[in-house]
Amino acid sequence: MHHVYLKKEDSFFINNTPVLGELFMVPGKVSIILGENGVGKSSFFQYLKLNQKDIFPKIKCNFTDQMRINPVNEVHFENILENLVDYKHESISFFDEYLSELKEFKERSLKNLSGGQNQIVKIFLSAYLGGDFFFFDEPLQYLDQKNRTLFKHYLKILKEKGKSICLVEHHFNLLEEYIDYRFVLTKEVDRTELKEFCGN
Amino acid sequence: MEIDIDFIRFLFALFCGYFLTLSGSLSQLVTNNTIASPSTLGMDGAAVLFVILAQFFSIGVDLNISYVHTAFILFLIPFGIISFISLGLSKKTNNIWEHFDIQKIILFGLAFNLFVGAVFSIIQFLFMALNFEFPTGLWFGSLKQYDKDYLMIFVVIFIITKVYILGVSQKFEALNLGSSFALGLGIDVQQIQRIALLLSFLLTGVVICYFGVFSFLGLIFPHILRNFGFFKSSMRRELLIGPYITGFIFGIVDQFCYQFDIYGAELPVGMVSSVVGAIFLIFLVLKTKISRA
Repeated sequence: MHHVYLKKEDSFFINNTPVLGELFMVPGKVSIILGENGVGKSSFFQYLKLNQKDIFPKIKCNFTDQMRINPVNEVHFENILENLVDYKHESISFFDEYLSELKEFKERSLKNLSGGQNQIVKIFLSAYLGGDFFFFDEPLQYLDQKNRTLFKHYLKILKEKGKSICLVEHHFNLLEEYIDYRFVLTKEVDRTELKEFCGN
Repeated sequence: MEIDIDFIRFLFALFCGYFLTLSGSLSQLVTNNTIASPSTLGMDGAAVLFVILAQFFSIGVDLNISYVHTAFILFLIPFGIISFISLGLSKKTNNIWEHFDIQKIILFGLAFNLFVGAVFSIIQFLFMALNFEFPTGLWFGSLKQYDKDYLMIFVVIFIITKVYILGVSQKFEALNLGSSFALGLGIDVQQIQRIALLLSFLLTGVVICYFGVFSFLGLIFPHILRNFGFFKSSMRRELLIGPYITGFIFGIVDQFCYQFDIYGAELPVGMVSSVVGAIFLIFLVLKTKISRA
């Protein structure tokens, strides 16, 4: 189990108020962070990204966030795989298993993909790059029913492989069967708190 | 008809084309914005200020060096201070978006360029009224006034840039997918963005101080390159090979200007290449729109 402790001195990343609390990540388990819009869930992921070398030393992290992949040139999905080969850790079997799902648009410029296609490309990139700890910021956004099922399958494979997973997702009821730990980010008067949530 | 190719001048044109292309590509890459360029980010305007300042120096003080060298030395002073502050003193922020609002930077850059243009006109008027020499052709870059003495400066900057780009080209490939994506891979995005923008400023600065403004070539050249399959798919190729191609083309255009004058007056290559490049860019944009439709 890996604990992320948020201490006052280094956690002023949401509206200049401290974020206090604790998040833990367990191999083969999914932790989900809940909270209202604007409370700072994505900022928290951003904080983890920026400080990943200090917070997760010697651990290969894999982040899939909400930002659209929007290169300045006309790069295709297949080009990206070649271009990012140096960052590849150990691809998750999901990548090869479902690569054919991308055949419709893998030769199209990423600039011309729809929101859902861009999102599924990011999920495939996550599987291609691999890692130990996986973070997903609203992975179901823009995805249709078919691709939501595909993502659920990816989550299942990650759990089976013993990867530690952390999610931010408003439609958490769609992933209920995979969630092991719930955390909630709440805004107080002078701070934001992250704590484990045991209720409904 | 006798064609007399000036190889040293061709070499300078190659350097200028190379520097401007690289400067544009770096600006666009690190800001993830295809309209970012030395011109739209205000780098042109900033460098021009030092040329104007050097002109003042050349009136008041006998420095025993040409005013282009003075301009470049004056440029290097604030450049060094900015580099020291941004690389040495700036704090690491916990919010990647906090320090980088590209829309604001572009708006500021365009406004700054307009401001410098206005200042330039006023000073030009005053210099002409007082019968002082003024670099009127500064806004139309030309290689006419090159000197072999400048070569060492260009070579040194070329080597520094080449070494840096070779070292981080893999990171640039990741950064091309967005700063947030690159950050997720553990890349120090803020540091790379700062160094790349500083390099872009240096490349633009040296060209403007020595040869004047080549308006919007830093914007046009990378776009032209990206329309060719070889450069479309890889940012590394665009950064490592692309500038040689555009530099070579720029050298040919400059030789053309050198060979064929109009009533004894040489056409400034900056003017010619901006016009040809802009038309070519419009054609490519329209072609892309039509093929997508």
